[in-house]
Amino acid sequence: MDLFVNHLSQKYENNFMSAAMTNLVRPDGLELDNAVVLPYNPGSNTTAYSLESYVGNLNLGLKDRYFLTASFNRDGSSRFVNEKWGNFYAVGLSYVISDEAFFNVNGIDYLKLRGSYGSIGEARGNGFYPGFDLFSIQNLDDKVSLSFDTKGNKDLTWERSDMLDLGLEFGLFSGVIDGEIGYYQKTINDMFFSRRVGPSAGYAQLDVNDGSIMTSGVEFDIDFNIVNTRDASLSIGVIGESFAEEFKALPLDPSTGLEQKFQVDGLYGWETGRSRYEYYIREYAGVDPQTGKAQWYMNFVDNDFDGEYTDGDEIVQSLTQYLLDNPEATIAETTTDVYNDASRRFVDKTFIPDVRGAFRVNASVKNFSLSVLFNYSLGGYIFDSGYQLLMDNENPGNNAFHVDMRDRWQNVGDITDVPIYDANLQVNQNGSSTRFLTKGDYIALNNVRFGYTLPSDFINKVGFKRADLFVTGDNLFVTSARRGLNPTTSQTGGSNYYKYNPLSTLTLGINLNL
Amino acid sequence: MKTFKALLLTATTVFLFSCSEEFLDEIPRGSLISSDELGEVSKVNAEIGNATVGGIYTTFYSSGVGGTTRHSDFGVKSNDMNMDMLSGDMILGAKRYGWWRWNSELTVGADFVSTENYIPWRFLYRVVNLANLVIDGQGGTDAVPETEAAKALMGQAKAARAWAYFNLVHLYVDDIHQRDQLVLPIYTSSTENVGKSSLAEIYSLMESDLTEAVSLLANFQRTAKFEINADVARGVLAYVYAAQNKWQQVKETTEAIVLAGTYPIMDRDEVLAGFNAVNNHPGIMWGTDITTDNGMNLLSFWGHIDYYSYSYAGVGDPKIINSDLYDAMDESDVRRNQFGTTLFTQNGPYAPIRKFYREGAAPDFARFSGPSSGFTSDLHYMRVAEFWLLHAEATAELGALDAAKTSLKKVLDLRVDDASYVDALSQGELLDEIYLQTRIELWGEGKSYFALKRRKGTVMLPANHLDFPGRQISHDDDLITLEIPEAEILYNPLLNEQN
Repeated sequence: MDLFVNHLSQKYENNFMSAAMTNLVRPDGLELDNAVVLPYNPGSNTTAYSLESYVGNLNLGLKDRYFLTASFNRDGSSRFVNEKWGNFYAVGLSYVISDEAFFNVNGIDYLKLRGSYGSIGEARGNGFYPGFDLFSIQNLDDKVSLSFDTKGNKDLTWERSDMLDLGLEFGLFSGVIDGEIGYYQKTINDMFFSRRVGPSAGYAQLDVNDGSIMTSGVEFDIDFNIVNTRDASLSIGVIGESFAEEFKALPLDPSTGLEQKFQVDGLYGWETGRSRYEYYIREYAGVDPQTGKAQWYMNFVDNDFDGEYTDGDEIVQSLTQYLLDNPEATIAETTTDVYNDASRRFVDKTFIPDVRGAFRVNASVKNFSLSVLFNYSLGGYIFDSGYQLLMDNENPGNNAFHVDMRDRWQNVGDITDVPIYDANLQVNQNGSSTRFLTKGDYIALNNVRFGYTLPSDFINKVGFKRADLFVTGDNLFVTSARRGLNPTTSQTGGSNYYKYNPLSTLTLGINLNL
Repeated sequence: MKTFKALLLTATTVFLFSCSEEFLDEIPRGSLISSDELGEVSKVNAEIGNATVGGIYTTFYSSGVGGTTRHSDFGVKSNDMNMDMLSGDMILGAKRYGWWRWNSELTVGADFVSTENYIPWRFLYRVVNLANLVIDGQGGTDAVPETEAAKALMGQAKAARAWAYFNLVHLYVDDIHQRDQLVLPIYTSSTENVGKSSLAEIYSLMESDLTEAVSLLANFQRTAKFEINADVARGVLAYVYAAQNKWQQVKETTEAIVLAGTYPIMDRDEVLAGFNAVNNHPGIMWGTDITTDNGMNLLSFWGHIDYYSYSYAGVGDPKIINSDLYDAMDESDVRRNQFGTTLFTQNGPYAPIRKFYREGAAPDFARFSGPSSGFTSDLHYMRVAEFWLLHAEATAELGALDAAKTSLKKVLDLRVDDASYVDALSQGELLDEIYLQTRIELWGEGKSYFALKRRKGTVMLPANHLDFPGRQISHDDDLITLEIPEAEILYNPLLNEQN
């Protein structure tokens, strides 16, 4: 048994000062007084935060097969004003069941069960002073001017995650298979949340603790040691995870005081029961073969019940929101070539993949060795902004075009998915829609290493203990739904400009041990 | 027992080294200051009250006040440029960089998703909120300030609030004469989102704010031209009355400004002096003296208009005058000299190269002769000629043609060799002439859009328009009025409908 109690105080302080002078006397002089012109005003500022924690830890082990851990944290952060302190705890149990006398199963060499439940707090993510209404100090004709800069929230406090973790570790068939499988369920409560505000209030967002998201998933990591002899070995490992996320509660709506039913966040729509990343966008309906214009689906309230969009029918711009406000409405659908008339709605696609992970192969024969690592992701859709940019309808010369522009509509009757190129005559022709949603599947060859260990009797004669020749390659290829699209470069897989692909590198080397 | 003692010792040690309560108190120490600290500081620094009003004026020329990093987001003057283009007086001469093309292509009024609808909205409501913060600090919108200092703060804040609503009404309401329609949210204190109020209620708020401001500022002696004084408040009030065609009140209000003689009309030389130094011209009633410390760069009026620095106008996207408007000027009109030909406007002398130029461009007028950052050229928001013209308009509407002609000639005598042709005009002709002279005199100053809407005019796009030469657009057409931005409709739960 051991018990550990701790009190921790942390302070971060960044002192920044800047000053510049030009017209130097000594060209390499480092003092400001060595120059005569002050090109702009000097400045200085200090940013700081502090953190204080009381920590208690208890570890109990019994007979080397029952283990208990428990911990308690009381944390305080300077980032919060009224509610500085949060209490967090965790309990964990594990049990090596294969060590029990009664456990006697053929083929199972090692089996451990583990489980834990606990909470952790998060204070970062809102800047240093999210609790205050902040004004910025500026010079107005050499008088002080104070402009409102940021809306603060004094009641902002710790974001809390409750996490349940269950797992199984095992070794089977005398080392042929070993691995672990885990299940987790994580619920973030009091989320840090930038609540958007109608900008007519004078500010556009407000940081609050609100809403709750649950993520649950399965993770596995299994190695198959297929060949394991003196001269040769081969093992294959598979790592993967599959997870789902959903809102358990959306933030409160400050105007009504009730939980929000729905919110749009960029390309996504938020609704209880759905994840943060469900696309809520206009749905592309292809190209009109007569006019060449892009078309989208438009929902409308069919007031005269004739199924067609006619005078007196009302266009629905945001379908989910409209149905929440008007549950009785009769909604019909048609297509339109006016982007802003098209309806935003859930298209039942998300970037969250069905499964993603990696697999690796390690092999050796005599002095040769080879290891390979692939990453993969299956299922899920990403929004390809890079492609959207390359398919735009701006003036000629504004941007490069994707080769798909060759397929654009040009003559009446052309059947194609790429609309007419008319230099922005059709407003918002390449506006965000399902046209640019692309399957996020990929497989990437992350790393290959091929090595050869020089025979030791030869190497010893030259005076070395050991020498390895090797070739390694990193990021050698990626295949995805569109050439040039690399879904590994951002969290949501989306593409954009000013983005670097991971470099492909090839290294040839020798390792010498003296 | 031993364990217990050990625990006790540990616990004592742990808490012995606990920090004091203040350890977790951190406040910004730099260019940001919290409202709590401001409350403390204001007890020892008397400048704080004025500084919050100053915050309103700072937003007038700062880039990014529309909530974006776009190069069309720099406060009052970006609004003015938008309005002059929407009214068809300022023409985008080329689209090499593409800023402002949404106005030329008439896409902005058809596209509520466009950021260009968001920028003026965010900026103007930011001004409303800043004004409300000052007003709340003085006890609220109905409080009656006692001291001269408090009156000055309240008066300026109320006038600024009304000025912002006045701009919002013109930019976001298609037809400013339909008083019953619900159009915009009204905030009279800094609160959470509210829904739309009717146009009549907004006019009434503007009138009461400005009337109060005029009396609150009666004894206020401003120290710099960026501050709103009683005459500036009267100026905005005159515009508010004019928008509602309340000509009698327009007449009285403008007379209070022009007859005092405080502000002489800018003369022939002054209107060719570049409009870059507000303190050199008594005819400029309201404007900001820009200094290097303001850090004004490409994201500014000068960055888009000045031909002589490394600006958008200097490298390919000139903003030029409507060719019909140019041609309507008398041969002797000094304002013809405000315009000329540049590398990018070979087809006519339409570029405002002698109306707006940066400080120091004269007398050489050499291209790329200036900086592209650290501009010190000033910005003006109001000048007295506007009110002579508005006075002429109001009196002409009221049938007092002689008074109208006299006021119009006050301006024209300083612009053309012989203004006597005005004497022969009938009422209708006179009103047309006043409207025309308003557009010419105030070209590029963001005023003709107000005239278009209050006079229920029609935009006639000229031959030098890039996208729609010859097109006619009515003052209440959706195409030349902005749309309430998507963010407001999405995130303000009490506002769900486009205007």
